[in-house]
Amino acid sequence: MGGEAEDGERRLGRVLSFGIPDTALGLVMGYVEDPWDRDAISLVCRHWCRVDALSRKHVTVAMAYSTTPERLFRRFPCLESLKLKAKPRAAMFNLISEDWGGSASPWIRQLSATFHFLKKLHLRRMIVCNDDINILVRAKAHMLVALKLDRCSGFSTASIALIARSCRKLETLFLEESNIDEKENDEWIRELATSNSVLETLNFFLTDLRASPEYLTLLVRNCQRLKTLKISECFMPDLVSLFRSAQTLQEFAGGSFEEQGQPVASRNYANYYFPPSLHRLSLLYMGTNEMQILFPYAAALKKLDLQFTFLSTEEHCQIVQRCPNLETLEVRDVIGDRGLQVVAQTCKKLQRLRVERGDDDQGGLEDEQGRISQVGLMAIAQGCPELTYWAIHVSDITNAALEAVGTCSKNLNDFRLVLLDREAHITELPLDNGVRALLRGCTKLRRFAFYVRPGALSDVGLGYVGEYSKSIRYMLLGNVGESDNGIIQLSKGCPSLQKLELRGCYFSEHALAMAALELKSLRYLWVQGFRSSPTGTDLMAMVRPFWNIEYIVPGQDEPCPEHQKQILAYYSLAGRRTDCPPWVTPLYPAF
Amino acid sequence: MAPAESGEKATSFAMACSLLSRYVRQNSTAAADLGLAIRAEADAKRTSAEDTQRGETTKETMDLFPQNAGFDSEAAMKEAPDAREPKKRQLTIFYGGKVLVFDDFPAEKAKDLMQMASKGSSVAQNPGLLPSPAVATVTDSTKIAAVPAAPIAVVNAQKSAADIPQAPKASLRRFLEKRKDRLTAKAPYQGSPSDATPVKKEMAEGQPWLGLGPQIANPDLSLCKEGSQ
Repeated sequence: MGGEAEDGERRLGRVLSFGIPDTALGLVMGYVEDPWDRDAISLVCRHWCRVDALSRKHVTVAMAYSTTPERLFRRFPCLESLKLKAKPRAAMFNLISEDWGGSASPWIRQLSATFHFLKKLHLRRMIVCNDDINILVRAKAHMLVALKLDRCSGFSTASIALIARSCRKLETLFLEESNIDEKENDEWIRELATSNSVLETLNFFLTDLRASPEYLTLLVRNCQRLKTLKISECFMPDLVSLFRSAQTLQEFAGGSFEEQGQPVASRNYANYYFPPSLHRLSLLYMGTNEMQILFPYAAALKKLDLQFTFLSTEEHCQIVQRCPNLETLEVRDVIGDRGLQVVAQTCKKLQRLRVERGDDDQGGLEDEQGRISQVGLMAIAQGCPELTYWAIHVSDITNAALEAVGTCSKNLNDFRLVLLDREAHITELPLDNGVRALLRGCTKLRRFAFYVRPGALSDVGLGYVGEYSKSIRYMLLGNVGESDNGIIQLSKGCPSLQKLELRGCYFSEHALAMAALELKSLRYLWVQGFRSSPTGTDLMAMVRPFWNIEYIVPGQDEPCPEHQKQILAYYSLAGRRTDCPPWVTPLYPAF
Repeated sequence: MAPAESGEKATSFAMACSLLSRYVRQNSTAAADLGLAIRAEADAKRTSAEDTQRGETTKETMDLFPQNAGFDSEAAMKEAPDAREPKKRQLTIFYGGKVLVFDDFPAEKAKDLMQMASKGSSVAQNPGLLPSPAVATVTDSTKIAAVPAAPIAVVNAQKSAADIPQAPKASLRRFLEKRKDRLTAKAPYQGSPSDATPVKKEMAEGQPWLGLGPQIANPDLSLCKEGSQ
């Protein structure tokens, strides 16, 4: 394209932009922050696409292999913030082996060489090695404001120390649930404490890193703006002076009520000091004797995480009834129907509720009352109308309960239900009508997970899901359907579905391929548990350009723990993956 | 309520943008009269037939995704290549674990190829030449399209559930291991008679699947854009 054509384009662009010059257009677009709106803007015409690209501050690449670092830079050269995700979500459930891929190296090399305005980087479920961090720090240390290595692996505390020393403008350091090689105790915390005074968020929650109270207290003293501190295990009585010094702290997670793994004889936590600004808490291993620590602060709490505590149903009730201002609550199902009823009565401002499954190794319950049924589900639906995110594990369910959710929980944008395998008999199956009512009622639903058991959702039910999921972009379905007809029916609807995860559904390869071709917005598919074709070739029906298909087949000596084949397929402009391990077979057309 | 407003605003904004885009494309023909040419970027991968089909203002990224975002006229255009030349269709060959796809393969040549292939496979099997699972399958893509209407076997549901037990989230599993250790270390701290709830024997060993999203992160814009996690 010669200069004349470009010039002509610009003139046309201005004509079509109603005489608004590019600079003004860019400024107007700058007020549009929602990524979906930006997406719509960029599709109006090429001119607008360019102006949008130059004014876009943040981009999330949900699947790192869907594009290349170079392409990203060519389109968004002025990017200030980038989020990348690589490994499938199933990796968080130990279903994807470590060597599947997801190396951050090519990205970090590109980021370091270009992306001159980049201040914030968030890598999730990727492999980041010490060399990568070295390169990144050398190029960007003077600019980095936020670095999140979220559920990553491959690096050691030496790299964290390097980041701490070099990135003096760092306001956020996030390492949650990463697998980090520990080399020199917790010197990195001391480095951070002495090099940085602007830190607002430090998060190494759910890592195995050691953290001494002395260095943590030093950090809190030196970083007067610290708002969020989420650490690993550290004995609570040792953190008294930390909390005394932390006058701006709003969120704390971690700590422990056990000294070096040994449970301690009861101490009196009734007068434990937390700063008045603190209203988000998650305390590890809190038990009967320690829960009194919360009582003076319960009324002010906005977020409470009891997932990692040793409390009974009754104790959950005692705590929750003192927390009328809760906006986020995370618990295990030991809270029981009774506990959820207390939540429904007390926590009228609740926006986010997560009820995880507790352990029942021997087939029993943590607590006799520690199970959730339709009773608890209905109570929450009726009592907490402000809920936007709701994830729950139930042991029993009825259609009426799901209908109640559809009727009452009008603000839900993310609903996830898992029907546990605990009970042999479920009160009411199938749940077709309940699911239909839920989807029709919750019109703002964008994300939906329904993980049940065979017989819980028939092919007709799947058809309902397809028909009433107008805005749903992400779906996880487990053990649904009766035959291939189900997935075919589903695929005729779901107009907005971009990401689909299926597990244990046993549709045939052929049906899956047909469904993938039919779902018009689908750009990411993950399946575990399906009926293979005799020649293993039925999947080829969905082969097409720019659609990467990975056939994951564990062998005898292969690391995949479930010994079940997986299919991973996603749109990609990057072409073939060049870093597949031997147990991943990529399927591509020949051009 | 703020969420309601933003949800509705978002959809109407997207619709407005797509209407604007349609206007732009309609006006591009008028603009051509002014001597201004707008061409799609040259892409070596696309055939020239596709180029003229798709019109002049499309972009690489838009071509690749089947969703239309309101571009109805484009959907109509996509239908055309298949209808235009009934004698040429897509040919897919599976051979030795590799897949070859040929667009616009003439029907006659496909027939010849299939005849040759069927002759070839009846020739003596020399194990040295091909790895054992190698099956040469030549399929006309119309055959693939015809199959879905066929009756499909009902799956043995109970068996399949036991094959894939629910899997817990890694972080919670670590905590639950620790809890188990703690319980065995001192006296059982809550009696939970296992006869109270009947449990499937095969599930006793299985780990629960916590098919849920990750730890709740701050809801930022990226959550909206790119899905869950």
